[in-house]
Amino acid sequence: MRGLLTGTAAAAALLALMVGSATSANAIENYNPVTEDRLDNPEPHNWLQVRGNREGWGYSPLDQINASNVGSLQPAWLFSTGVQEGHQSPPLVNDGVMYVTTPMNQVLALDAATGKRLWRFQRELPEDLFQLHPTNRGPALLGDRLYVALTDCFLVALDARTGEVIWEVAVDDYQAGYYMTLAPLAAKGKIMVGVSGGEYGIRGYIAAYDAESGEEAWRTYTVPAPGEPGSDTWPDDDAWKTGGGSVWLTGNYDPETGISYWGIGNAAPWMGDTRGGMDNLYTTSVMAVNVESGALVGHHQYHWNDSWDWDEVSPPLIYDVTRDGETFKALVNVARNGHIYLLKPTAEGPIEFVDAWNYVYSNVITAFDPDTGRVSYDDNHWPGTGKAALFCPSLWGGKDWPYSAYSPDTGLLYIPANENLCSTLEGAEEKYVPGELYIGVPIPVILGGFSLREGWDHIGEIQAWNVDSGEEVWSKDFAHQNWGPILATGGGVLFSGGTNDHMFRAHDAATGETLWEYPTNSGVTASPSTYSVDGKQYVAVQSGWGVDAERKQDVLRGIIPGYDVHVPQGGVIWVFALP
Amino acid sequence: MKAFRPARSFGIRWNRRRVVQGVLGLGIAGGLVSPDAWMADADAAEIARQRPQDGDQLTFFGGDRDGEVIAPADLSLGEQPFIAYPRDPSSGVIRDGSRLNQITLLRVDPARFDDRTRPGTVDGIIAFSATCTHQQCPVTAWDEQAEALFCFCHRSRFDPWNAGKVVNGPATRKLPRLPLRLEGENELRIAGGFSGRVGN
Ligand code: FES
Repeated sequence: MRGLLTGTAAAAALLALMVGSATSANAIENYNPVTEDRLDNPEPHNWLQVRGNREGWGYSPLDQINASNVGSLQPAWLFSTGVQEGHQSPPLVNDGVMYVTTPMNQVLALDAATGKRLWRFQRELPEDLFQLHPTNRGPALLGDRLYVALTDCFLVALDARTGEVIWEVAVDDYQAGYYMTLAPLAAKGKIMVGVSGGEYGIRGYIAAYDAESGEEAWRTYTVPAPGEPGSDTWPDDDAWKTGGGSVWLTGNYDPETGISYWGIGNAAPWMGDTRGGMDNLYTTSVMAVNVESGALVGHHQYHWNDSWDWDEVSPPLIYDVTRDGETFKALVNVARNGHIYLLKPTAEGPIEFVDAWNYVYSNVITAFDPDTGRVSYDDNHWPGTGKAALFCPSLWGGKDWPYSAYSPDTGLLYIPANENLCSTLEGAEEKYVPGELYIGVPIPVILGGFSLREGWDHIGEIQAWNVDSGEEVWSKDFAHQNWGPILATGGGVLFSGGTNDHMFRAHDAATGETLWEYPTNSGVTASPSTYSVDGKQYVAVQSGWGVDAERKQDVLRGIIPGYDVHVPQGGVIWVFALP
Repeated sequence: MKAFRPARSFGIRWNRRRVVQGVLGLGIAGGLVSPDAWMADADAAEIARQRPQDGDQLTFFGGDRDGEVIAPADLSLGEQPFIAYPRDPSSGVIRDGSRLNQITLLRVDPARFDDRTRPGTVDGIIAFSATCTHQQCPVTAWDEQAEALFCFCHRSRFDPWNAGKVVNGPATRKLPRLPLRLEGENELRIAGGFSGRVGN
């Protein structure tokens, strides 16, 4: 479809009517521009990027709120976002100014200490847009601008002081099924985004735009065209054109090497036999992309020829791991396929496989090649077109998009996991129609294709792992699902929601013990953040249930006898502090 | 005869599938494209964008019978719904200029219709806007267990016997109805516009 849109149409898109609008109550004065040096070396009192640092830790060194006093945490202020759907974005904070993105293409700027509204931006959604994922996972800050990637596939640069639109660009055509939910990555003067739409048979890519002008700098596809490296892992037909490979989450970034690491979604349509039963690079992989040039400099495919809808959405966390007496900079990924991967990046790009092991019950992957990490499958649990198979974990995997966290204080990796839920899928032939769902599994099959393992006693978990030793240190269970990204702090506390009981919780990072919980308006599936203003520490999170948590809740109502819990929607920004 | 397919004109959001066919069509027609033909294209685009009208036929969307007119015998009890587009019988233009014209068509047990739902159905055949009132995904499936229309995106369900009311899910508004009638013995026609606001 891009073919139809190149040239004139793309230029027209750049000049598209500016349908976004900002209402600016108060222009922000003395704004502290976000330099790349500040992003590379974030100050403890701010939260300048979605995971707090380049390496994706989800960690803040702030320790005023800690394991001994967190029990008396209370709301400092609240702000209603005015919209429904899945609120997933962390409040970013730059020297007392908070920026929050919400579903429905909205950005809010608030006073981080008081909740007073500074400005609000909303870009009108097209009347014929249908949103499979009505959500947003955060903005990016760079200089005195804020960048946001939207579900109508526009990338917009706003003046961070006023909310005025500086430029906007149609990254792609929403009518062909392209959309964006991730927070952009800002590095080397570029704003990088990735597209979603695997369920519509898009061909995924990561694209970079000049932060100043909005001009496209490079575009690196997640599915190679014939003749490009990796194209020999696709059949000799047109499958690559609709090959999927969505990019759901912001890449993590190593400023030392200038390489970014992106988690790539599953291939489209869902059943692997429709793609020749081949590897289908670079879907379900980590892609290492040079930020300057866009060159694909390395990759590791977590599992080949995906047939389980296991988008490998998560970018690997970057931190030092010690194995066999050697300490090295590692890529640690908690894969949707139920396994933790320990990988070793190189300064040039290529990625080496070190180790992998399962963190939830898995009946699909039976072995890893010790040298390459290539997996083997149990054919009984491998669905196909006209071939039904039951597999665990379910299509939502052991962990979906909610972020894991790493604390350098405990040295532990924290995983929001889901155990005991399995899926059954069976593909059927489907014709591709641009802009329409292109899954290759009939909807009634997906509808009823879930089950719980015999003897199940819980689903949601937070797990704490020592990756040096490969051992689980503690695990905490929740009765039903857990869709809560995790924030780790220097106070020895983990913050997370994710359950269907509206709770936002603090756990002891060393033991998993729940130290505090607070019932919010809805369910918390958003990423928490923490910051301080005038020496006072705050913890912020959005509550607003929706998207996959909503879907899964419906599934659970269908398969747990007598279970009928509904979670109300509606977004509120909650900010907590000590009295 | 094959339905006339208009080509894309810039500035107009256009159904992608038809764009492909339109462009291919023009390619084959080659030098035959005259200014008059472009005018006709504009007219056709206008017709394609109009909402369903009284007297329109219904055509299959996607699959092997894409674009063919749907007859009552094509719909059987207990089968999954079809997604359809209206077709203007006089010009032959399929009204697919906006995805908001997508229709979910199915046959259910007519004995179970409540009194306000029964008018505008044809022997158990009932039509709704396919655009989910939640976030506008196409409502394409039948949930056998819940006996309801099912939207894949966030699993809202709608009751066909009670005017499309929400059974559960994040949708909060019923699916708009599209009244049907028979023309002559056996031709399925649309009998008026959507009963309410399409989409969310
Ligand atoms: S769009 Fe139908 S349930 Fe959300």
